[in-house]
Amino acid sequence: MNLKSLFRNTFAPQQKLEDEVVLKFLRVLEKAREDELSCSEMYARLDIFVETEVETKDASKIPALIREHLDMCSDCCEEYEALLAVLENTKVK
Amino acid sequence: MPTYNPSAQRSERTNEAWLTDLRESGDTHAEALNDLRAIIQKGLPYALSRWLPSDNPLFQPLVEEVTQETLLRVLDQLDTFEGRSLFTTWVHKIAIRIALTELRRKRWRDASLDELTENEDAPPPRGLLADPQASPETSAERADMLVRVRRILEEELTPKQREALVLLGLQDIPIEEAAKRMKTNRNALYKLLHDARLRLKRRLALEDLTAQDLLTAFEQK
Repeated sequence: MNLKSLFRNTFAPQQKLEDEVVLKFLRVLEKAREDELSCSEMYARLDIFVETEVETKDASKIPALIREHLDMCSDCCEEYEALLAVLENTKVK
Repeated sequence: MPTYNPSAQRSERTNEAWLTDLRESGDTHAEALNDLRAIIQKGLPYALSRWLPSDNPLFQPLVEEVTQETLLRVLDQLDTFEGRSLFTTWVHKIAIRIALTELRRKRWRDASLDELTENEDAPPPRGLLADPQASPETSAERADMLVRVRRILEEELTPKQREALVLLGLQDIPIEEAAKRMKTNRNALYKLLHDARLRLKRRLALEDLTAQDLLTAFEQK
């Protein structure tokens, strides 16, 4: 961390947390677990489990850890849905 | 019903053949690269359909850019492919990461793209404290609860965690874009938020509260 950002982080006035921010945070808090996947771990598994889902046509086969990360992380969830759309639409008819 | 048969994908190549051909030089390499280009471009309209319809004038330039970048990245990362999925699925995954990263960047940095994603805009969050249906007693109870939560947040969160919460909570900004603004990466920001959630959860437990208790209090009519 350089001096400028250290200064900014230390002395910047604290932003007020709006009600919406607090509530949005509370809504995901219940799902928080100690052993969550990181986005990189998620990305490493993405192709494998989406293939499995398309093959088995069964979203319930998605491991709980992955499902929970998808619930928490909108970016990973978008990538999951996009890959699912590609595989489902390009499979052999 | 169509069935999914990995061995009968459009491309006839096995995973091993893809790797071999792409590592070759000359015509074999060029042909494999062309086939891969076609596969990427066949998949992208489905990947992007939620964000950018294929008849949008920005669609084709984006596809070209993403395809080019994907091919470069695939060649660069060929040794990291573990063979646990189809090679083409792995390539689609890379293309999607590149395409959505670019779309998020455009969406959040280029106001002219806003019109493209109008239907993606989330409705404004409900102002629970200003609920006109709530009785004065309930409103007061909610206000007390919110004051208490806010105090806990102020005591527990680091400035960085607070900054992330504000960015992601108020603006519905993608994590990737928030990470760029905070001069960090998506993985680190997710971890920062994960730590914040666990810290808050433990603190609420210490105070004999759960997030559900608080939400219920807020949402009581």
